[in-house]
Amino acid sequence: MTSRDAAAQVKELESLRAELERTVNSAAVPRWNADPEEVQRSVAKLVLTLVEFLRQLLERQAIRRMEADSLTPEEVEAIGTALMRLEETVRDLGARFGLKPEDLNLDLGPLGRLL
Amino acid sequence: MSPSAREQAVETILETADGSLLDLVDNLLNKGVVVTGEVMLGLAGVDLVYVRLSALLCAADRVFADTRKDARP
Amino acid sequence: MTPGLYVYAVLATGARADGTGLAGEPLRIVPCGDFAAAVGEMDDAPAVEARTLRAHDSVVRALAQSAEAILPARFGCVVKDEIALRDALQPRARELGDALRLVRGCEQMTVRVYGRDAAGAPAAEPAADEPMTPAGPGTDYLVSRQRERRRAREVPELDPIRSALSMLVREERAQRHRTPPLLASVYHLIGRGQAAVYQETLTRAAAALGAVRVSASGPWPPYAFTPETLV
Repeated sequence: MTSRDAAAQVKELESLRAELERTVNSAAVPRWNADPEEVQRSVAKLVLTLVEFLRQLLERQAIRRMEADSLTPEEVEAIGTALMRLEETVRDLGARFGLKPEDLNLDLGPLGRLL
Repeated sequence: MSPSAREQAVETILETADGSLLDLVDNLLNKGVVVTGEVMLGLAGVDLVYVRLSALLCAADRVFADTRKDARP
Repeated sequence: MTPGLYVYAVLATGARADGTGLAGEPLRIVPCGDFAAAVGEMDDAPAVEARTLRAHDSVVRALAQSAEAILPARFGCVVKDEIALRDALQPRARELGDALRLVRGCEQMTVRVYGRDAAGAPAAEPAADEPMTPAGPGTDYLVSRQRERRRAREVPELDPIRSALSMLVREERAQRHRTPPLLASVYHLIGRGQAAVYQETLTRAAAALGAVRVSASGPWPPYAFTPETLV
C-alpha cells in the first residue's frame, strides 16, 4: 500500500467516525432540560420539538398511505397543505426564539432516530 | 447509566475506535429492534421526570382497519 | 427488586437460547406470541464500552448459530419483565414477522461508499419520468417530501456494480451521509456462508466504479434489517 492510499484510508475512517458520532450522539441523549436563565426559549424548544416530531410522524404516515393508494387525491392535497403550513408555522415560531430547524431535535433515544 | 454518562462513553469509544469497532457502534447503537422509548425531563440540570413511552404510537390504519370508511360520510 | 430483562434478539418460535449473556448471566427464551425473545436477567443496561459492545455482538452471533432467523436487538435494551416485553413487541407483531421472514437464512454485509460528493445533491427538480401533478400545492409538497425521503435511501454510485452483485443480494438498506468522503452506508442481505464470494465479487466489480471507493465488512448478523422505528 502506498502512503497516499494509507492517508486516504485514514481520512475515510475519520469521516465514518464523524458520521457515527453525529448519529449516535443525537440518538443517545433523550433529555430536555429547562435552563432557568432561558426558560422561555427552553419551553419554546420543547413544545416546538414535540410539534415537529408529531408533524414528521404524520408526514411519514401520509407518505406511506399515499404510496399504498389508500388516500383520495383530495385527501392528499388537504394533508399536504396542512403539513406544509405546519412546517412554516414551526419554522416561524422557532425563529422568534432564535431556534433553527436542527435545534428542534429532541430525540427519543431507543425509539429510534425519529427526526 | 445516565444519558450523559452514556454519551461520554460513546464519545470515548469513537475517539479510540478502529474500523471494526466503528462498524459495531453503527450496528449496535443505531439499529436493531426497539422495545421501549424513554425521555428524561429536567430543570436547571437536575433530572426530575423519567418518561417511558411504550408502543403508543402506531399508524391509525393499522389499529383501525376501517378508518377511511368511518371518516367518510 | 426483581432484575430486569436485557433483550438480545427476537427469534422465531421454537428457537433455543443456550449459553450465557454479556454479563455471564444464563440466557433464556421468552415466548411472545408468534415469535420469541432471547433475554438475560440484568438490573440495568451495561456501560457502553468496546468490551460490552463486542460481548453483545458475540451473544447475538452465538444465538444466530442455532436460529435460522434472528433480529438482533439494539445494545442496551432492558425491559422491566416479561409482561413489559410482550406489551412492547405485540403491537409490532406483523412488522416483526415480516422482518423475520426476510432475514431467514441470511446475514449482512456492510458496504461503505467513499468518494467526492457528485456536485452536490442530485437536482431537486422532479425527474422527467415523474411529471409534476397538476393537483395543487399540497400534493406537490407531499410528493416532493416523498422524493426527498426516497433520495436519502438511494445510492446511485453503486449502480455500475449492482448487476454483478444481484445474484447474491436479497435485500438492501442504505443510508446517505453528510460527512464526505463517506457518502453512504449500504447494507446487503446475503445468504449465510456467501460472504467470501460476496467480497470477491465486490472487489472484482469495484474496478468499474471509477472515482468511488467501496469497502465491505462482514458477515454480520442482520442488524440493519430489523425494524427501527414504530411507524
